[in-house]
Amino acid sequence: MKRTISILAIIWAFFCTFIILIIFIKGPQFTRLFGKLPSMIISPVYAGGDLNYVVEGDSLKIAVNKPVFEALIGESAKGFVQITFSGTGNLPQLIEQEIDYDKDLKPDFKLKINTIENKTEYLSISPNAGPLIVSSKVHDDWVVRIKVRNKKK
Amino acid sequence: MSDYFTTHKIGRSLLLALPMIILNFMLITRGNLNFSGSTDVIAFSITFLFFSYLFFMMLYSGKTDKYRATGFIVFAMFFAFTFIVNLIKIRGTNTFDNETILACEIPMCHIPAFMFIIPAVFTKTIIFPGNIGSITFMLIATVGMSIVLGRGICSWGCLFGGWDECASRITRKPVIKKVNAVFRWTSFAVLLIVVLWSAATLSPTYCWWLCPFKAVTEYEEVSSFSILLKTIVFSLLFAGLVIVLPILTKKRIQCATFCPMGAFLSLTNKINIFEIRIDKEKCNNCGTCSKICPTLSLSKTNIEETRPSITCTKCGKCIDVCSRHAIQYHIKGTSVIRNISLSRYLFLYPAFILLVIFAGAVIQHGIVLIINLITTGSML
Ligand code: SF4
Ligand code: SF4
Repeated sequence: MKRTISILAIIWAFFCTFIILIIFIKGPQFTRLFGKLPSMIISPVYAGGDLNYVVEGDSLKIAVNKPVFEALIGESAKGFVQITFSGTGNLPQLIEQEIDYDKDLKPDFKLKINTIENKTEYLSISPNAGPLIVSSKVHDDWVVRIKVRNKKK
Repeated sequence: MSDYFTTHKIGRSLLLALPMIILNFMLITRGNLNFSGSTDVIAFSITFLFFSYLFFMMLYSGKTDKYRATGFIVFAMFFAFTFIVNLIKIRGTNTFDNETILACEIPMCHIPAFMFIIPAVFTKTIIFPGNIGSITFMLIATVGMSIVLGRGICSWGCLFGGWDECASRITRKPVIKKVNAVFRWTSFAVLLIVVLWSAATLSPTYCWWLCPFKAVTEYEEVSSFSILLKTIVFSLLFAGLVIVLPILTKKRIQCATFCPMGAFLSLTNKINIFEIRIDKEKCNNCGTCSKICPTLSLSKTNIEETRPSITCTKCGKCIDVCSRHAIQYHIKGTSVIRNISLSRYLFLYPAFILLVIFAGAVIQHGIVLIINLITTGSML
């Protein structure tokens, strides 16, 4: 028995060299395979949440995401909503918009963004809309995150 | 002198090293011999010769640690250098800002992996603003490496461990002579706190607040008081744990007492086939190995129990200093007194391959950048 275990252990130790080689040589294939696992998505806390609706104007496209109330268990009382402004050509120098993030047909907050000077003025209209978290250029777009209250909590 | 493992014969050492030399060649060229110019040829040749020499010398001299540490330290320095230069090429700076975070473009190393486990179970997502393909690959690589080497990653494959390893080798004698082995458990406390903190806040807490290696990679652009605080924290941790204390103690203080990934990888030593063992018959309890262990893994009790604590990084330093050849690499389930050289070879192959896989490309690229700097005056 001892001898068998010893031989099996040596065989396993021998294969360790190949395991390391396979992991790195077949890395891209493994990445594709494991990338399909249900947990392999970036948390909405970082990715910004799922798309809620899009408003398309002449020079501006506005993507309003669903609010993110991510918590370890259930939902948190406070979260954020992400709005992405994309220009149909270049991003306009001045963006002035009222946003209805919860689709109740009433504006929740107002944004005035100077994309060249990197200045954002924010006005909360609805009591559910809290302060501005971040307003930043992201590649060719402009992304804004606003703190919002979870109505269910 | 570890004559026990020494072949002292050039022919025999070359023969035993030959498979590794061939693998070096394949891994460093990545199967592509189309060099784009003489700079690439020079960079490849230096890298290939460097790693082939290190491995050959491990077999010829019977010493592991000296040659491993050389490769490991050079790797850490070149990694920081190439990483920063590449970021400056892409972003114009090695700081990141809101744009990088919102675009989910923060590069990830292997260290945050343990923070993802609880959030992944409960939220089915990864709590890191990075590219999902790179994160998936890093997670697969970390799991694979820890199955094969356990905490051996911390002496053979970590991108950063070479920094405190380097600092710990600067002075000949330690200024602080004794560091209590109990401090090896503090990294487990850091691990617990970071895991719970990350789960509660759904954020990679260690990366945001504590990682000392931000000092040699990328860090957040200081645009608020909290970011200034983070910058002060990681700078002090780098200066204290990675530079000053390792110089004073000759121990890898950051890795031994603070790094939560090191603590997490220690747990994987349990499922790993390779370990370090002490032959009780040969050991005369001189305590040299205990004094020299850079990760505080060999207390008196460990020597009596004939194995280091689970925090051992399999660096081989204790094996090299033992004048009675009482310490050796060992394959679990086999006899401690037989197959000593075989166990060492079977450990050195995957461990060294890991080093070459990570360090080969990095060092080669770093040499190209240096040659470009010398010949054109610019690396960008
Ligand atoms: S303890 Fe942490 S930093 Fe040190 S080598 Fe291990 S993973 Fe790397
Ligand atoms: S016990 Fe030996 S092999 Fe393990 S970390 Fe200490 S010196 Fe290195």
